[in-house]
Amino acid sequence: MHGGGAAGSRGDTAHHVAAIAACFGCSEPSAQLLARVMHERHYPPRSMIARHGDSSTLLFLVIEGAVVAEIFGFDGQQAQLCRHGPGEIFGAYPDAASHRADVRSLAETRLLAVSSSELARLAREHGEIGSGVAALLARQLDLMLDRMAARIGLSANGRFHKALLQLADAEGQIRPVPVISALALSVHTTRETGSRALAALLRRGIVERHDDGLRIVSRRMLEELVV
Amino acid sequence: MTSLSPILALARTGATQRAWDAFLAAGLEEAQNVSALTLKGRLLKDRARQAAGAERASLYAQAGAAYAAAARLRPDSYPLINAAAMALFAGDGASAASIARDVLTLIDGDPAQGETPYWREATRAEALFLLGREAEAQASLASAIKAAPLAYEDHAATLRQFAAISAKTATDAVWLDAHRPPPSLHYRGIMGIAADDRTTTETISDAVAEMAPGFAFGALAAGADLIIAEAVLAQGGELHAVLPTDIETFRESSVLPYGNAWTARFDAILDKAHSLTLCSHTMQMSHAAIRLTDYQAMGMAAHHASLLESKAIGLRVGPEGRSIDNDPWMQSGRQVRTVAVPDAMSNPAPDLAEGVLLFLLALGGDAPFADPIGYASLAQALPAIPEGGQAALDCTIDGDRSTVAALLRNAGPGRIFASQSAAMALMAEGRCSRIEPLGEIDAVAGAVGVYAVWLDGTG
Repeated sequence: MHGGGAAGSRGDTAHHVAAIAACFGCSEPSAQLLARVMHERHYPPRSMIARHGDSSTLLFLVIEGAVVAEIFGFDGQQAQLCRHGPGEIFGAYPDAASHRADVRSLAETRLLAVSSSELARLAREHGEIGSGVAALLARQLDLMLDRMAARIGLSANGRFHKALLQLADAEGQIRPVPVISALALSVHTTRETGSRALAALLRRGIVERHDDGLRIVSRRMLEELVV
Repeated sequence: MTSLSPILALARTGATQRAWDAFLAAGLEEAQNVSALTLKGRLLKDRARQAAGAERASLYAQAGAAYAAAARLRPDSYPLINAAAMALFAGDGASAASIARDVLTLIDGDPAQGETPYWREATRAEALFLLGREAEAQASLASAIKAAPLAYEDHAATLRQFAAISAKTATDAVWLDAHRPPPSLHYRGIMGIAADDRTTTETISDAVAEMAPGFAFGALAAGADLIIAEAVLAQGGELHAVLPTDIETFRESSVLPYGNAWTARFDAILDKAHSLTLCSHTMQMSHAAIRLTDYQAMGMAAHHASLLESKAIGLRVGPEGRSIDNDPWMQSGRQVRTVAVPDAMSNPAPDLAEGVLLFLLALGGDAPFADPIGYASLAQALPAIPEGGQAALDCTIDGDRSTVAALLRNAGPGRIFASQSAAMALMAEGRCSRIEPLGEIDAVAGAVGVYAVWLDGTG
């Protein structure tokens, strides 16, 4: 592992738990178990995170920013292999491996790193975590296949709107107020995008904020924004 | 029940007939549920807009019947007011008035009617307008806007609908102008103004105050850009920053060389911007990257104004007599204001690489998925698109052809799909009558916004 990012503060733990619960689709107790073994690393823009051939014993979850994996061909030309944004994973799992490419940060980037073997142990011992890891890997595979197919999918705003609809009950209530950064992460977008999308819905009166949650005032209008 | 989303998605691309065919193929023509009937109304309305004469009137009448049927199943002011408007557009003023009265009765009798606080009052206003009770309609629309003063997209939808009703009834629509959202500004100006040049700062700030933009789109280079951005924010406007590269590269090339005072102002403004758009993944500034950014910011301003039924205005800051004839904004014929300021101090920034900006065009149809061709300008690229042909357009500085190829694979027959950069360039130069966002392609290098576009004269 190259350089090693700066560690995050303990004050971030609540956010980590929310982010982990959203990405693994697991309950808070399981997310807390994971949060104990997932450690934040912070990388300034353009930092080298890993070099091609480095041994890889960690799995990374991107919680802010983005990383790019680049390879060099025999002709010395650099090519982008893939890019991972919020809510995506890269690295080794379940066993240690070596990095297939150089990995560097594109912007200010925060990652949660977990020992591959530790995560594999938790997945074996806790059914919900195992199921969460499987869902996370399946979603990553879907993303890669979508990228290969290059089909038109929902925009980041559209995915966020859809996630809000899915959280609501039959009366349009979303309780408690969702952690926006975690909800955004679960649909592979940034906290800023999620916050802006929600602010626009509140501004138009499509969604209302209450002390104990959100209420979708017009489901039809929100559904029209799933684009 | 069949999912309606793919049919709605087709309709959004402008493939009106294909969307209708898909609706029929799904066996929905006789469906009696609110969602299917509301979609049926929408599809028939789209078809009516493309038809003429008696066929147009007939399709509007059928659209109205579908909306009315939806409202019969579940009393709802949304389909009912649409039924009233469709009746008017079909030439049946008596039915329009009758349904409009039903809308008023429904709203007055049920405090839950109207989808949001804005739409409850705006729907009442539309019903009153359809009944020719203009003064009451004006008062009701003012109440609607007061209920949600920042719901600009919704205000705009009402303004469009009222304009259409006015055109049909040959009534005056000038009063609507008082309700238009504030203008969207695209700005651009010289670099190298001294950070403590108060006279120039005041001159620029005064111009911004007079133009009173609600929204501003542009870069944040040291100099006029940052002064304008600060003035917009100080006056309560919403700033949408658009940069050619990643933040670090831009800061190093276009801010830092001009001194630490500008760097602090850049960082402060970046924190306050409502949104930030990075136009490329390149880590090298070039003249081509700046052109790409200009197109993007201009297109965003023009598109935003179009969505809000308001004005797009331009502001150019430079030395007296500097020509702006090559400015893409001038192609559009939109309003532009020039502000003369003293020429910049000597330029401390390193010379930029030239770079290459290309409009990549790929054509389907007879030559499906043929190699994309690169053009230096839209003026050269657009004539190469055959009328009614399937085409894809991208605007790029890295020469990557995978995006335009993916766009073409997704475009249906007779449709033109554009990447966000190309769609914004078309808007910037005023070469298209409409663009419709369709979502995004998650490409290897990052997500690419996709738009269906209607070139001028095809909307």
